[in-house]
Amino acid sequence: MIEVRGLTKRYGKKTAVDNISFSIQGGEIVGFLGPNGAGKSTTMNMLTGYISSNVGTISIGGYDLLEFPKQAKQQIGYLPEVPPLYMDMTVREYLNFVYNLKGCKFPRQAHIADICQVVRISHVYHRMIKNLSKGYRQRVGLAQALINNPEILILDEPTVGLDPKEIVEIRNLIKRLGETRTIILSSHVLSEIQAVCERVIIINEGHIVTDALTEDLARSAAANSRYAVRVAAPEDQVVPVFSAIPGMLHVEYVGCMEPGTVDVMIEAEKDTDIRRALFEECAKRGWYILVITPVGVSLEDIFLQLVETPDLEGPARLEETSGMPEPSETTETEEQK
Amino acid sequence: MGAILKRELIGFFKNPSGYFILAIYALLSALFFNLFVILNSTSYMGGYFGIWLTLVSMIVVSVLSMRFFSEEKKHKTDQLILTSPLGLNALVLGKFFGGMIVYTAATLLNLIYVVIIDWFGKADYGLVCANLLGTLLLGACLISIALFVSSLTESSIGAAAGTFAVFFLMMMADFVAVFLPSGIRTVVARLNIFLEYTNFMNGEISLASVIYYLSLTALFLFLSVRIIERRRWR
Repeated sequence: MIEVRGLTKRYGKKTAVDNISFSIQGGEIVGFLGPNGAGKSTTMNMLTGYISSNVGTISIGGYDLLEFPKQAKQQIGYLPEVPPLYMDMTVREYLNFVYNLKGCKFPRQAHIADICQVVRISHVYHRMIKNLSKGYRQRVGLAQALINNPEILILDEPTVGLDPKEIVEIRNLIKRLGETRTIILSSHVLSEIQAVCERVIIINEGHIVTDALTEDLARSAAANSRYAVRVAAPEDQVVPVFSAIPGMLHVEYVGCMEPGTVDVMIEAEKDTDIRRALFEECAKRGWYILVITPVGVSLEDIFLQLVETPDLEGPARLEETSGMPEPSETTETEEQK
Repeated sequence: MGAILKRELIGFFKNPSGYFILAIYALLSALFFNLFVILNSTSYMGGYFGIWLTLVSMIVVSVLSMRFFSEEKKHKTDQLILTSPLGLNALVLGKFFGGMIVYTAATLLNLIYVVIIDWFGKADYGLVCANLLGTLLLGACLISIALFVSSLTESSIGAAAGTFAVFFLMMMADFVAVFLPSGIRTVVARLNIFLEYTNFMNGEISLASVIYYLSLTALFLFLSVRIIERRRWR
């Protein structure tokens, strides 16, 4: 459906996107993940023909974007980071304008009414866009992308700045739309990608760092079992003793949180229940296990490992993540463009 | 093109801006009509059209230019238009005809003055028709230049100021031309698009002037398309 080969975009001396290639099959929901400024929006703008690449080719449904822009663009519905709305129009006027702009051939009233129903904006149909809330504006933006029933939807950070309820609604909507369409979704929120996408492309500083199925990525992350352990034992003995347990991969000294105890992070091989061996070892030496907590590795950790740069150290690193935490939604926008 | 044209008209007439432009036009044209026709006790409108109304057109088209592309860029709606299957030619033409409709509406306000003249004396209809045609042709040329300048900048104020500056420089072209070598003197002098209006002012419709204005309009529309195209490569 989408073929991208050797795409490069430079803004002056800065290379925003550097020689990236990927292909997306029909019906896939692909997440485009990366920190702010990684080149996500730039890539999306190139995919939709808003800006041109310096090098590389993009083919949409078999049509080269440069040679057959009309045919290629007809297959794409695009919701940019900032929904492209005319504040002085009503929703009705705006959607009719987009209908004309895209040269849509479906029966006008029925087509627009259907879309309004899908994105649930029928009750604000006659209102001015400037009077709508951010969530509704986002929906109108999505409605705009859906006009002409494009096979490909490209959504750039569709949930930024929405409240938690709206976020869940928009995500569910995207999932529903993805049943019949190819969707590319960019986000810097990992849980979003995990909740919605089957495949994830992680991009950092203009390069693709990973391109894998979300499932595989999560599985590979959870391959080893990790535990946070607090044990009442002599400080200097814990690490060597634990490391000697068969099946143990890694023991990391964390610190002393309670007097007379030691906190360690242990990682054991997959399919080994290290807890029993750990208990026996401690019992043998008369050490007390006070806390033992399983620590899941989330997509968050993988992401940070992959895109880690010096300024991401420290507080940004999520050390103990059991299960999938809900990262705070930020309204930062990419500085690109 | 129809979609863009319709959107332009909604933009002009659902906002104060369209009426504001018409109001400026009405105010300034009424002022000049009073000063240079009524107070002169003359029924000759050539001077009013040829000198004063061109000045009003310059101001009004400069204000008009604020809405063309800079506004779209500011609100990011250009992302919608440029990623739609619509071609750039249709975009620029839609904008151009949107501007032309507002400009034509403004120009038609002058018919009130013709009625006034006719009420108290005798209006020269031939002269008025030639001047109305000339005003529209000059307007088309000015609007295409405004589109071109607007495509170069992201700021609305920049577009208006830039457009007015270009008009002013063009007005000065034949003064500057005097100091230039004879080879390019004629070419530079011809850049003064207001000079070409003299024929219409005298009630003549010359084919050469019509072609001059139309070809300049086409040139600047073409340049606008090229500029927008080029921006996407940067």
